[in-house]
Amino acid sequence: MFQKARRKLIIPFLLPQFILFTVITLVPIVATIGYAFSDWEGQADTNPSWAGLTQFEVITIDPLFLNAVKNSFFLLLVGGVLVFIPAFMIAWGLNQPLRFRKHYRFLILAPVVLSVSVAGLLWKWMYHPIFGLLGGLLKTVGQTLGLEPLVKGVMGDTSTALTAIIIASIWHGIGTWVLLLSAGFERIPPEIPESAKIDGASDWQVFWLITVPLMWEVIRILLVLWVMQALQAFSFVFVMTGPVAVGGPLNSTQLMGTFVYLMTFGSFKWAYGMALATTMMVVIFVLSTVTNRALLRETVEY
Amino acid sequence: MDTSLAPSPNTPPPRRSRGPVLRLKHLIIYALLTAWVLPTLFAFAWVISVSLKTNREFMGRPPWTLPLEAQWSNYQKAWDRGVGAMFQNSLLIAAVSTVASVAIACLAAYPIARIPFRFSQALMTYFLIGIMIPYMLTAVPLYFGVEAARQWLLKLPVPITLDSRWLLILLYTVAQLPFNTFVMTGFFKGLPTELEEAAAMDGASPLRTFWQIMVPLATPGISSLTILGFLYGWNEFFYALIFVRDQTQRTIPLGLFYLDQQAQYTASWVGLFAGMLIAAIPVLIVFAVLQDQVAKGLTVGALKG
Repeated sequence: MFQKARRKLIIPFLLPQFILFTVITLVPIVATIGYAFSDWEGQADTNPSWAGLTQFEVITIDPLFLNAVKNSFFLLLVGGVLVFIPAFMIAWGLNQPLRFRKHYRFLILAPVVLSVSVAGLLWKWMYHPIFGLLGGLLKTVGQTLGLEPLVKGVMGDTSTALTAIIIASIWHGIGTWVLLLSAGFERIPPEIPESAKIDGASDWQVFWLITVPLMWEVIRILLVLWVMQALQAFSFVFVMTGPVAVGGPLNSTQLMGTFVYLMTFGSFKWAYGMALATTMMVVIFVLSTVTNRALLRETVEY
Repeated sequence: MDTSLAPSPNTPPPRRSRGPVLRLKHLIIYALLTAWVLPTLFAFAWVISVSLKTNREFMGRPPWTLPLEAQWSNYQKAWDRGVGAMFQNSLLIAAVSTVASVAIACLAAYPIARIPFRFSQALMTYFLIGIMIPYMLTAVPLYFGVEAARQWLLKLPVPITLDSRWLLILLYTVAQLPFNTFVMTGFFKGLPTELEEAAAMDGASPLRTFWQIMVPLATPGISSLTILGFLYGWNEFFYALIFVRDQTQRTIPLGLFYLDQQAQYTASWVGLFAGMLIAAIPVLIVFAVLQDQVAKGLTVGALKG
């Protein structure tokens, strides 16, 4: 009787979410994939027709897209190293009994709560070779060592702009990864490293032979999340280079995400942009699945 | 605790009154953390310093110099020139979309988690598609759908101009639904069944049981999602960029972006920096006060998958 009365709740409770999700998420996804096979282009085109795989054929030979893929992978790999190694060390450090622990944690996490615009503009101006605090310093370093890009400004040189943006976005986002890794550290029962130390293991051995294996499951999940997030990156490049020269200078910071934006809302190649978005989804899905499988180990029980 | 700190017969016991004993390991940790934190401190100090300068000083004196005389009026000017409106828009949009999304997700998660019915698993999988999808994939159809809706509203007997703020509230609400449902389903599944049964025995209606027993029990999950949702709404950039038409309806992320563009023409850089601080300081204060809750909120749901 109790169950039967409750069953009356099912439909009214689920209906709002079902309708909103279907209309505002699922229908657009299906539409995007559908229009990827059309020739829809231009602001006035209201009657696109079927074009088969034409858009996808263009993708494979579009040097600008391949360049964007290359940059996205650079972000994925270099950014991954630059975010996970410091995040792991910081999380481990914050897990030790320290004085001022909360103060450090606050300062490391604080950028997370800033909006991308605040963080992106802050770094854009910090890098400015004349007006920026960091840019002025880099300029002096560049003049002493004869490094041209540092003198003319890291955001204006094709060899440094993407790295500069990656550093800004890591400064902004590292807090979340630190927190997630800290949560992983906290799940390790303290008796395990303690008893290893009693048995004579050094800090270093405890870290590599006990902490890392016990954390593997967490690391795997976070790396998969990183793959999904890095390949969708958009806002930092847009804020720091846009809106006139998104992905500049000379496309050296163009990512898959910004390229899709430029093709659709920037140049009204709707069908092409939707084919790009569909390709992007496939790339993200395949790579996150591969990462997940590759990192799958037999879980250590504890 | 570190077992090596245990007193041995040969050495005097460590002084415990001053907290953890400083050792090489700790020195390395302090050095590392300090190295990471220093640029942040310098960056914040620099933004504050610039926001209190005159434009002439910003252009004419080296970046590391402090303002000759603090220009507090920069903040008032920035607020009046649009930052105030952006601030109110962002506050409204982030707050309403968060409450709506958490509420709708709670409603949906409850039957999926607690009431056995056919298709409950299938429905969950259906909603979870939303977590995996890059936002680029829905943007173009949404844009044209919204354009059609705008036109249609203008043709009504009483024409209505679509307010981008309500549009963003709708989009942010829906964008967070899949994740919120995922987390709330996990939460509801973890609660004991006896309470619902007892409530039913006492004659409480299922609706009342949900509202007065289950929802209060799920408060930890709800508060984490509220924090996460608010931060999402406060920071979201892409939808705002595409959908906001009217200058007065811009959110903080979008408005600051345009303020930066304008600074090139109006030569008002210090106003931009004041605006950045107006956007940053309230969230930083809230974060400082609720540090532990925010930290918990940011990690909710990630490590269960």
